[in-house]
Amino acid sequence: MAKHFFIEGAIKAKMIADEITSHSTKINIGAHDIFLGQVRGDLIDGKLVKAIEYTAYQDMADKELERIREEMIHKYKLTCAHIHHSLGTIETGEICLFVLVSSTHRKAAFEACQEMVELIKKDVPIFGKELFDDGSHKWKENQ
Amino acid sequence: MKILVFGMLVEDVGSEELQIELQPDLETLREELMEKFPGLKNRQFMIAVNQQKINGNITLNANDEIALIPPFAGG
Repeated sequence: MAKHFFIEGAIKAKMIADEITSHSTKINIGAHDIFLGQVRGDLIDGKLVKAIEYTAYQDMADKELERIREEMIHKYKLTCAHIHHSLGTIETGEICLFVLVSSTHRKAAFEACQEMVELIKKDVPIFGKELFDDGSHKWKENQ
Repeated sequence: MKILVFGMLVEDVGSEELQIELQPDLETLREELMEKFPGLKNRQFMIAVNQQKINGNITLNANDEIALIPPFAGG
């Protein structure tokens, strides 16, 4: 069964803190690395982005995220890995992606976290509509 | 056949779900969609079949899950 990686709304600091705390009993872990994606208030053609509305092809996205997670755990021999992505309207300055990887030593955690974020951006069917302060919008595309 | 539509492509076809008659293969489906929805001609998108990215052409079945997928923006 596919794991569910999506949450409705922004990722709050408490959720990140709770996730880290939940690992304190896993005493074989020596390193965590975290990535947080934050909605950026870009100025595009003179208009300011005030939020991004995220949608996804959820069934396929869940499968891709599980594949990426398992690949990274296997490749870097991670102790564990967690991915959370927001859906819905996320305001500028709020967190929309939270990746936490854990390993025995720091090098694997650094490398796995970076590669995991790149794969999430490249392979997962998540779509973002940038909402401007004047009520118009533009569809975002990862570079 | 049922077709799921995502992101910016919803604006081109006017709906998140389409019903069109069964097309024999992916290439024919793509041509049929361009014909019905000319807005798609200016878009970059892929068609997933049963939640798999498809390279090249494949035969389609009536119960396949077809999805029109625009560029990704996750993260």
